[in-house]
Amino acid sequence: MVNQFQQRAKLPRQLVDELRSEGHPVLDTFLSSSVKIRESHSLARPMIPLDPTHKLSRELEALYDALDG
Amino acid sequence: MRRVVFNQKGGVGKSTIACNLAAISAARGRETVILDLDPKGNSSRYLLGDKAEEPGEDGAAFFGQMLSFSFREQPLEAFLRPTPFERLRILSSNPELDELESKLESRYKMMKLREVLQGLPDDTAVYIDPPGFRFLQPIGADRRTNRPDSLRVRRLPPAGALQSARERRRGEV
Repeated sequence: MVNQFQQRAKLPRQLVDELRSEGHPVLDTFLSSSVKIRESHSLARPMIPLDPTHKLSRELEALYDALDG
Repeated sequence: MRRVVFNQKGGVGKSTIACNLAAISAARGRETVILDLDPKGNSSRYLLGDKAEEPGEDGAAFFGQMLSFSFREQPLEAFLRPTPFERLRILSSNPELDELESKLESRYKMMKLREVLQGLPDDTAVYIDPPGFRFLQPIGADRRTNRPDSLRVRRLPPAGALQSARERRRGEV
């Protein structure tokens, strides 16, 4: 699972490509880096109840679907 | 459905991912249980807030009974706490888990966790947040049951242990 992914930076993408080329299984759904997750921890509310339309919430749902869909 | 979110390095989002996947599972209508086996208790604090510190049934009580002789062990469900989120329950962490888990491990009682999970209803989703610095390693077969799907929890050697052993050998030569 790729977490705290930075879409705009080059290195994270390169690292993921490297892992894949070495044959490591990497899920297609990346979880973006977000300050919202700190708020989520501080309020003791996971992302879905906290803000279901947030980008990270949607990514987490996509990750859930990838694992259980 | 059983999911373990694990990683060797700490602080990468293991508990965050486990809790959020569990919350999604519950929000979608599934009875869901998260086992916070990490003595640090990040998942417990994330889902219970300040209530995580309150005394009550938790992982230490659950594993404690495995180590003591008792005629009638309580099922896992007796140790789960509700969370503010519907259908989501948690086996809350406790700092004592660190010591308890080492004892369980050395007596090969960690295997019992598997039996315990099999005791939960099939339609209950289980998410496990294992302790850091350990590694859930699939082994070829459980020596006793000969089942290929068992997981064994083992402690990783401390960083540098292999290297220092090599250096020691070199010193002898």
